[in-house]
Amino acid sequence: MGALKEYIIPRICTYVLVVFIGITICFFIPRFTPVDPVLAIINRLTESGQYYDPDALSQLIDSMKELYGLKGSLLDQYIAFLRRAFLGDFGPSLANFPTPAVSIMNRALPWTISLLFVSTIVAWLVGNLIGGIAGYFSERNWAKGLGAFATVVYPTPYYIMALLLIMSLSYAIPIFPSYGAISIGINPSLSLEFILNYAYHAFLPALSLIIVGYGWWFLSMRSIVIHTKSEEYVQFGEMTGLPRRKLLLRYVIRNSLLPQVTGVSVALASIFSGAMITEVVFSYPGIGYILYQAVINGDFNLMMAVVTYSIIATATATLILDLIYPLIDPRIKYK
Amino acid sequence: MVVITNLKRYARFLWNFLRFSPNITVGIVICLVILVMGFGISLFAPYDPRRWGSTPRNLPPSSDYLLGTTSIGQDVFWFLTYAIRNSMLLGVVGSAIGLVIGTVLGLIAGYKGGIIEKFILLITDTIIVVPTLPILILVSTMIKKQLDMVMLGTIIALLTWGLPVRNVRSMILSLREREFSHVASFSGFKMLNIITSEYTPHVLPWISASFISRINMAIGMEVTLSIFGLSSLQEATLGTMIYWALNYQALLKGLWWWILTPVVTIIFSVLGLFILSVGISEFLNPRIRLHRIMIGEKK
Amino acid sequence: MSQTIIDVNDLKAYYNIRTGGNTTVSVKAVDNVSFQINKGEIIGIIGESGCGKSTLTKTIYGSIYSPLTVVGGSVVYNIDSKKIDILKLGRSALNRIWWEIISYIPQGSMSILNPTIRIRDQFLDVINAHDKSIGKKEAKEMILKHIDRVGLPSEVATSFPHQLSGGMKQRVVIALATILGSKILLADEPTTALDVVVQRGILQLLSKIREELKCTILVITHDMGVHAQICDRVAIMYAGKMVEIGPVGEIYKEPLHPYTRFLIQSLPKIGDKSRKISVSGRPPSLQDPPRGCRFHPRCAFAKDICKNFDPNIVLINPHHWAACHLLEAK
Repeated sequence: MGALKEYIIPRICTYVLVVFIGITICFFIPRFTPVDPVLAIINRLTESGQYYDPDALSQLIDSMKELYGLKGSLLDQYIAFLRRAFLGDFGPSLANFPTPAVSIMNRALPWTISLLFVSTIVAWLVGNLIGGIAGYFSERNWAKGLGAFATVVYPTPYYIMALLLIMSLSYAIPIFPSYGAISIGINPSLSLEFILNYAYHAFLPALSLIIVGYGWWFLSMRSIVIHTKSEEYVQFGEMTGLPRRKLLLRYVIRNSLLPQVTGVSVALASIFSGAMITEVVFSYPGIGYILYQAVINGDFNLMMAVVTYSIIATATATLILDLIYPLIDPRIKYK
Repeated sequence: MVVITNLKRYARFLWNFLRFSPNITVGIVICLVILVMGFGISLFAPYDPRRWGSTPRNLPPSSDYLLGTTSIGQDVFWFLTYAIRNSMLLGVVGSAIGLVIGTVLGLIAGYKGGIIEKFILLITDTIIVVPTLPILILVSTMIKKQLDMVMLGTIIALLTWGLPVRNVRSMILSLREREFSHVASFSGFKMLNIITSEYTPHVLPWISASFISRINMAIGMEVTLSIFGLSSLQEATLGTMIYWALNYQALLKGLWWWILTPVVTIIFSVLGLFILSVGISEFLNPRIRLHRIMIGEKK
Repeated sequence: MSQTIIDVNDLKAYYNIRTGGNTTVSVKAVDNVSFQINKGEIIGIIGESGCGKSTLTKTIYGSIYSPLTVVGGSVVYNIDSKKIDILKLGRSALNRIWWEIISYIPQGSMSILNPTIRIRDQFLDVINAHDKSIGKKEAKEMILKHIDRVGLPSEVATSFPHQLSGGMKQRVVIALATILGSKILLADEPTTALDVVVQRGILQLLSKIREELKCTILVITHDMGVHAQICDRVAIMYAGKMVEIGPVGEIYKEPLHPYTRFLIQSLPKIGDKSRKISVSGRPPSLQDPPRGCRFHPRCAFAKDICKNFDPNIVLINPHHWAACHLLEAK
């Protein structure tokens, strides 16, 4: 099991380290800003002119500090934070006191994961397939047309795409709803009614993610295919009389997909951010939307929870991809 | 005399460059329009377009107000010019700083190898994996009031320098192994020399393409932040325009000019920048040039 | 009586490259080449790098991709008393000729085989593409038999290309070429980049195939030692033109064309310690070849007529001709 020792374990160590460092960064950034959130709240309270008994005030400050985890020296805070975070406790959500931040997150998580998962897979499959075919037939007009479309779509920020979709398919031609994940009154279950309703609501958000994602996968796949097309084994394959379809699928696209699998790791962080934005636009109750609410309400604990989860989620996805890749590419062994 | 011949040479080079492919021509034209709007025309604004109440409200586009007015009494057209300027500024700052950091670290990692490389890679992987948006949101929440364009750009740069490190490093690694590297180092070239004279031609297409796409990324981030209401909302940027428009229910009230202007401008600018970057990479990449020389289709 | 199996007539194949603006540059890789390949022989084509031999082979095979264009001439196969003009065929017709009647053996280089599928699967792809009636089990047996015939162990079938050495890959490619029983093999540099010992093995393999399968083989290489080992006839190319062709014995003992003479003289012989002279100068550009005989700038015997007129083909005996003005005088 040399493979295990030499590749898997170091990779997992990197993973743990990365998550650790990421969370630490998250922890320290707010602490280094000149703004003290507790003081900010106190200022807001006292600004309104009401008189507060100084003792009551200092008690308030104290308990707030405790809530925010700001008590004690920086090191104390850090250790306390780590200890709690390790147990999955980010404290109560300040806006939805006393609901723990984590439970709010867990409620929102399935929505985001389902949206993200489906959109990413569809965009990857469709983008790579069409991009591959367009790359193989790069001289044809329809291929150039598809290329132009992808060129327009790719650099468009997720937000703009979402906005455009809302403007056209929700306002101008009202077909789809512009907010929510399900209609009021329908409970999550495995019933057809729920699934249809969910799909109806999730269609536009998913579509905006898919369209922008498609642009990215299309363009990168097309350029890889144009390069692969001229590889010796493709030209030789053609000379052995292989039919075009076989050449395209088994020789060109199959070899071009490999770098695209690694590409997912790279694109992951941006897809994640994109999903968050889309949720806000569509008031879709995933963790992006939760984060947005937390920001508006100054709900510090919830923000920390969401950010930490994001880091762990992307790091884990990257780890899984890295571990799977050698199984797909016969040229790479666990070295 | 010599100056004039040199100028003529540059001019001819420039002319060939512009004509090289439709990508470059279209891209440059779009970018010029944007630059002129943002840095040229904006200088002629008759008043500070950010000021509330400088114009009557909710007017559709007319000869007086080219792109109409907003619900808070601002001229959309002049506001747009300021917005373009600020967004571009932010984009360039964020892109350049991040690219410089990333490229330098990538060069060091690729060339030195060993422990230094592993260390750099570790930090880089962390930065890459951390999704930029949540952190950006976190930070901006804290220092909302003091956020100006340059500062925001710097923060974005600090969160996104990860990717260039990986790309530059892998380019350096593959270049190192190629024959001409060995030849160069055997001939006594010093490392810096090798990097500048031998590697740069290979890396240049990527750097130029990356610079421009990063501008797009930075602008996108700023727009997103503004939607979250986290940017400095007093400033005029493409993102804040959208924020205010949405805040005042521009869509529902039918004030299409207010919301459509920034959206169309954003699409226009990112498209132009992207097309330009594709054109530049084609121009600089000898392989693609060769590919375009072949005529006709396969039998 | 030797039968012509491939007839190349006045073949002109140029690379037409558009360089910026509206100028087109024509690289005359094959310029008016005529010769016949006889059934059952092993014929070699020799030439320096860039003389057009690879282009000639690809054109004979019918594999013509832009910017390569056939400007004139014909390539006709004589199979089973039918004449097939290969240059006039469309893609689907070519797919039925390729690999069923004639096979192309490329150099067994690094990336000549699909890196992500096993050897056996690539073989199956090819078999399936031409003869769908062969069942999977039967096909697998065929594959193992052919792999064994080229001297490779059966594990090769289930390996990936990166697990094989250069010599093994060359053998695999040869096995692939013969799997559907093609009668004509075009081998492009089959031994370049292999060391001498492996080279010999490959050449012996090719001879064996010719014996057992009664194939006709065309071998291209710049290495004269290869031709001496297995070829029956040899053709020499220079700057897009064929300058001499004849039985291998005659060519090596009495080369006629000045260029051929230099090639033969440059071969090291055991015991011969004399100093070797190489031809001065470099092969000419195929874009803008010299007027008259293309070799005249480097030829020690060049006369005035050589500088102005293309030499005609001079038949020395029915199997041996050369294109040189000096020979016409005799």
